[in-house]
Amino acid sequence: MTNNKDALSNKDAVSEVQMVAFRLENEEFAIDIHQVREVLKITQVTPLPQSAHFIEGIINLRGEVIPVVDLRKRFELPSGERNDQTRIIIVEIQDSNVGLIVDSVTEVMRLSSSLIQPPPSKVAGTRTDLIQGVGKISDRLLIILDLNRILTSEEKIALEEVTLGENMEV
Amino acid sequence: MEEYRDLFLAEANDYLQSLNRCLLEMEKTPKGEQLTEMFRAAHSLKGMAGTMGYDLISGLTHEMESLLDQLRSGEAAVDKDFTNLLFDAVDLVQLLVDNLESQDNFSAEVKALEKKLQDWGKQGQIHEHLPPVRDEQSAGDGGAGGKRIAWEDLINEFEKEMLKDAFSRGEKVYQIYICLRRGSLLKSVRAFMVLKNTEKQGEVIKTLPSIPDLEEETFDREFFLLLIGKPDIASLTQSLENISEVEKVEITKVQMNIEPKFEEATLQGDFPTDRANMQKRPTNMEEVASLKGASSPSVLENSNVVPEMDISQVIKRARTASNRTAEKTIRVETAKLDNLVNLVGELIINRTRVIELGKKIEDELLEDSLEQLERITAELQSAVMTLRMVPIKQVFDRFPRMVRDLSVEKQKEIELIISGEETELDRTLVNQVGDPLVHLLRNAIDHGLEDREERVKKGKDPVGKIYLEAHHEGSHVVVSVEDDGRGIDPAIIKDKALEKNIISPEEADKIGREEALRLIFRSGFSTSREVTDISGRGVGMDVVKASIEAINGTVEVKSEPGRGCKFVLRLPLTLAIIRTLMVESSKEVYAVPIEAVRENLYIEPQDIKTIQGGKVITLREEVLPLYSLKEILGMGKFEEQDIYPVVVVQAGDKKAGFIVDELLGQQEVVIKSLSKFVNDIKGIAGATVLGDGRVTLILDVAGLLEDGRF
Repeated sequence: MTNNKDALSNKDAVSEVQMVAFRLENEEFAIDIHQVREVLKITQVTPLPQSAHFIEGIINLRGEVIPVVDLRKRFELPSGERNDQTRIIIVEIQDSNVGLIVDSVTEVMRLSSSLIQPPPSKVAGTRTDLIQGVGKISDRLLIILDLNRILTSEEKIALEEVTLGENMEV
Repeated sequence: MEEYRDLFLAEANDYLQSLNRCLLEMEKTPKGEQLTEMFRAAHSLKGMAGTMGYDLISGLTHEMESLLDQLRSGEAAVDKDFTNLLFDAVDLVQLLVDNLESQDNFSAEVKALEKKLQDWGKQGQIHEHLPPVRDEQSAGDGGAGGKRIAWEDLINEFEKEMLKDAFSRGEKVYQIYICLRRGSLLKSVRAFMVLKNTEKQGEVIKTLPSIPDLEEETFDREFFLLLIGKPDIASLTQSLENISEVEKVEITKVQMNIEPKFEEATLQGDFPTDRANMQKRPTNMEEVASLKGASSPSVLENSNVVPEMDISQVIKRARTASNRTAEKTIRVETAKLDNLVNLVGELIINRTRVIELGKKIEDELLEDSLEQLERITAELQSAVMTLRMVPIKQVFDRFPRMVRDLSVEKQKEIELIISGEETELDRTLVNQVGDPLVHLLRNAIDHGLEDREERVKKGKDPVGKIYLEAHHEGSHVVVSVEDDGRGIDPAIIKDKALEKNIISPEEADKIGREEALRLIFRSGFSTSREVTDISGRGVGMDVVKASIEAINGTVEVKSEPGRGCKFVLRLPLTLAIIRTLMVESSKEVYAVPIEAVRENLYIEPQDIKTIQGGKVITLREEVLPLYSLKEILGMGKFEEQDIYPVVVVQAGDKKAGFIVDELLGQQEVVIKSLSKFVNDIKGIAGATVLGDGRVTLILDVAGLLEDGRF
């Protein structure tokens, strides 16, 4: 995680980051490979009552019970159909494993940090507060996710932003 | 460094525990062994702390060590003040160990206490009722050192029989110690000569080291023989001394008890029997009066001087030694252990799958090997589960000290009688049962037991007794705390509960004796000081109950006013595995902990009544609220059916019926915690993985019933 952040903040240095790219609806997203544990085919997910709407449920990963987030729901995209391309990307967030359901995993790529830019004010159909930056490779646009916020509730994000705003004024 | 610190902490706490235990024993009956053990503990602590650079700890333990050493040689006195001083020192070390990061804050205290310890040492009076203790080093290095090998530990059944025969013939047992000249070149030959000469006078039944070792010269220059017979000591000594290169001979008579009972005490203990270990174990070496002028002992004198062994003491020491199991255990990080348990769980799940697949193939050879696999994995599972089990002693060991301190504080004479401390349970439970027990013990001392005068007046033993007991009962561990104090009067409890509006007057009329006693577990009952003074009980009993129920246990109370009071805790053997009732609801399987299930039944639509918009059923004249599991979990809507399966559940005082789609039967499941991102869901206790790899939620009935809806 720190690697990723350093890479992003230090644009002048010619360093590379490795990313796992995946698809959701028509957008291409990417996560720092350091946070990715493995990629699974979609399996049976046990629904979790009374949890956030974007929590699909829990799965068994070799004996460990881990929550799974439906990224489409997280980004308020229309729910898509599950097919043999659907994957669960297991990522590590704050020392815990979490699964992310995505439409498909496209590739693992190297990206020069100079190609990564801060998030634009609005990416079509998605939520900017969950985005860490945007990577541009020729005509492709990769949306780089801020995983730490994927599981944080809306209210908490809103609250964080308020505090952040206040601090900045001071 | 971090890693070493954890190790240091674990070991330091062990040593502190043993220091505390010895001090407590010493308060009752001062004995030499305690001093020796304490000296060792202090010494080891000092060494460890020194290596880690914890100078305050090593300084303080150094003073403790010196003082204990003086005591061992009889140069300082042991009395109440002394034990209190040492208790203070142990407490301070504990404080330092608990606050390794900020230990420098205590340097003033440490200095003051070091001074006190030094001063005490200087007073230096010899105390009569504490015999000076020597260990093997102080017994002189000039020969066998008066050492007597603990032969009892070494002889086997066959040799024992030989001894018995010999005794019946009136023969005696002698230990022969031989020391060869330094640099002897033909040690095996000399040893052979010794053996041959000795055997002229009787039968050598054992040598140390063993005969093959003597032949291969894998010994330094000393060895021992055990001889039975009626030898002529003088001529035997003469003949042995005449063998060239034999520097020293010592023959001592050995009194040996080989009754079966003794055998049990010694041979079944955890004695390392190899030589190296034996030399290290002073507790096992009986000291024979050490010989004066060890360089050239006269054997005649010798055999007369040597007193016969005090057998009871040998047994006692052998038993102390058998307490020391340290050599047989290793420390393992709990995380590694948990990982192992997890992996075995995985293995079991996969095994089930493989076996199911195997059934489809219908191959005889495959079936056989799968059966084998099933058996081995089952054994592996149970073996792994026992790794998580630790004796409840770990908790109980804290209490003697606590009770002692409280008895001083409250000026009551109390005897704490502990039994069953070897009872094992899951280590996670051991951690969680401690606080409730502290609570119960405190209550017993504070309110249960009367003071001396009152007890004498009532014709009771002036010393109050508290029994702390643990044992296994099926898949449960039962822990009880019992005192012989005032007890609890149900009538008073009832009055108080009425006064505090915990029960209504109508309820009070209906309530029986037992039920009235249980009122002390109600929340709101015991917060008031005045209640506890009258009832003699009840400080935070609701907390005790809640924490025991949180680990799927139960608490019961029994009391006879004037005679005492008994709290019985029933705990599951392990937290990791629980029995559950599997139910199906909206196509998902849920596990309901069996502890919460009262009964299962099928009801028809006409059994369901409505009160204020809520469904109820009447079950044996009891009106129970009825909920659809789907609805309370927010997983669907209640659907009309011809027949409804219902699980009647209870948590605390609340009872309810859950309508489910299907009852699936009981199953033992391994509890897994939910991820930290989703762990605060009310009504869900955790999850488990079924044989087919599916994840199933375990319901938390208390959480479900607690909800405002009910």
